[in-house]
Amino acid sequence: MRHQKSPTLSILSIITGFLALIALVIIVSFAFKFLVSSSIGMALSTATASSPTEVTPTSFQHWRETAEAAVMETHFALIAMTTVTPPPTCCPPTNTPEPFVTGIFEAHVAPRPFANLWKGMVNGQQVRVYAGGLEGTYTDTPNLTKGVLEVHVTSPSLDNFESVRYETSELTGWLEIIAEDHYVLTLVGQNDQTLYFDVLTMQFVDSLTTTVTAPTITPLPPITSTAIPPTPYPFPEGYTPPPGQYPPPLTSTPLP
Amino acid sequence: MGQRKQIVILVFIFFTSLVLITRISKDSQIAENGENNTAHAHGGGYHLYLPLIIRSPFTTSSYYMNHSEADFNPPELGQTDAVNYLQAIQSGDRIITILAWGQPCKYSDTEWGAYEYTDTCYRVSNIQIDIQNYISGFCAQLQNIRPGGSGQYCGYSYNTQQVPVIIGLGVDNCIGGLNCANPPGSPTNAVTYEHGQAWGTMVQSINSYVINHGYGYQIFVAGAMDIEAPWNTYTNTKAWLDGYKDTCWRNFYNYGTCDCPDGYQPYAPFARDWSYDRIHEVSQRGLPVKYPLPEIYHTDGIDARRWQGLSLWGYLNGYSKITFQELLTQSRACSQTQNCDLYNTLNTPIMAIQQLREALDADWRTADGLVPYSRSTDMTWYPRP
Repeated sequence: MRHQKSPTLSILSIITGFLALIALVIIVSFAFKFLVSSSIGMALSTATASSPTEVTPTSFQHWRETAEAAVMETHFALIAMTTVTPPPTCCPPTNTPEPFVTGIFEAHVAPRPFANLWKGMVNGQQVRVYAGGLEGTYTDTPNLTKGVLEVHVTSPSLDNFESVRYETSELTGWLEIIAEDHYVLTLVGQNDQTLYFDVLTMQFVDSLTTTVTAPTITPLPPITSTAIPPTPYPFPEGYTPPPGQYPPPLTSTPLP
Repeated sequence: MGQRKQIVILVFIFFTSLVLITRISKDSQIAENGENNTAHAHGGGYHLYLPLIIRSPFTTSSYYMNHSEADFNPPELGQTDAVNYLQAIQSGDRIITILAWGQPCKYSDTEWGAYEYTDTCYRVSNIQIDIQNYISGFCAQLQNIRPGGSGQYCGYSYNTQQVPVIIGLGVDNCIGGLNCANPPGSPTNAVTYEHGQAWGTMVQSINSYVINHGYGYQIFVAGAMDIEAPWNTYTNTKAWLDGYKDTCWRNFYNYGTCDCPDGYQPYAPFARDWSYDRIHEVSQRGLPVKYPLPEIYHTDGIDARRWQGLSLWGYLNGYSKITFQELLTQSRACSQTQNCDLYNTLNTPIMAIQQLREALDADWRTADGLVPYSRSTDMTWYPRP
């Protein structure tokens, strides 16, 4: 004789089974999580063991936050204990300009890609000729690129400036100035090729003795210096900046 | 038949509950790993940012300073910057700007200096005057716009919890020679303990000037260096940092490169005597408190991936991931020299931020390593290249 289950009993058994399963799955998932995190912890402790000092992320972060806070507390403590002197309203101190010394010098202009420069006076103007290469190419000696000269001319009154850039037609690599004779510079490329540059006429010439008839450097007119103009950022083609971010605000309205 | 139905129902419930628990597990992971209002799902390959709308960061200008040009005018530059940064200051943001000089040098037997991106070694005492003039111009302009309170001479204080304007005063670690490639013992090297002391003394002295004149609530000066591994050894660079540390307790920013492999490669060779450990040390660890201000120049994102590799090295060696507060680009300098586009180093600030965020978030161990309101600054030649 077949025993008939009541519908209530069936629903109860389903609910009980459902709860039992959920409990089982929760237990399994917690056990799984524990095992995984233990193995991650082991991996981290293995990595830490090779560290030069005994630190943990927690202790390092704690040390760093403490040190950062100490710096700022010291800063504010100094402010609190200092009697402020109102700043002068006029005439900030000025520096004496360094003298303009002529000759060939190491450039010291990194990150600009220049090896050295020649400095001289032409028609009362300060002329600097920088020799080097294209940016980022010095170490790529197997794949030489063009050499570069950049000529800077500053007016006698030191308030006007002009810059002209020249590239070699051949792949000489970086250029270096090794000598100057009557305003003709002798240059050597990374490929050991020798080139000559006439400063007076601002052009490459064939040799030290070549006579050229091109116009010479003419004096620059004096101009009034201006503050650095904020220029727009050079976005790549097709790139649209978010509205309102660039360029930075140029003017502002005084607050009430 | 009834039993079969029950079995089918039980199996259905079992799999449904599995799916539900899996979903809950992922959601709870997101909640657990949330920090700084940002959450990230480990290994899931997707991101959930809270709040979902992240404000664009403000970008300041940083400068390669060239005093030898006739129109070099630090007070005027400071005034211009004060107007440009006013919006950020009013918003309570923190901003950073770097005033950068070039290779350290010895001006005379008794005085150190730095090249000013020409052939001229410029003495530290004159550099200090230029910096103070910049700060005084900056503060005078802010004070004109809206005066500060009693004893405050650098404009109104919109943020009383922190100092909003960080000015990093830097040199680079170039050893000299063509492309800074001279050998370690080169006599041209001035990246020394003594130079670090001189620079640290200058930074301390400028800080005294700032505080004595009532600018300290608005201006925080810090030391800085453009540290690039091919340009000098770790040994020389560390000696300079020790000199700085022994004379100055103020923070230090490394606004240089991470000359590391593309992505994390623990056994890859490094330039000179550098390693992950040593680049991490000069950017993140020990005293003075150090912050990386990473150069993110290349448009292909390699710089971002290199810094991510360094952050991962830190994580794997017990120092935790790096949390980058700010980053550096050079798009304005590129527009001045018209040369960077040849080598794809003209990232704009927003591109750099996207690249660094993507690189860091590609690995859960370095994810969320760029703070949501990260600061950004862009190099400019001042007055010109």
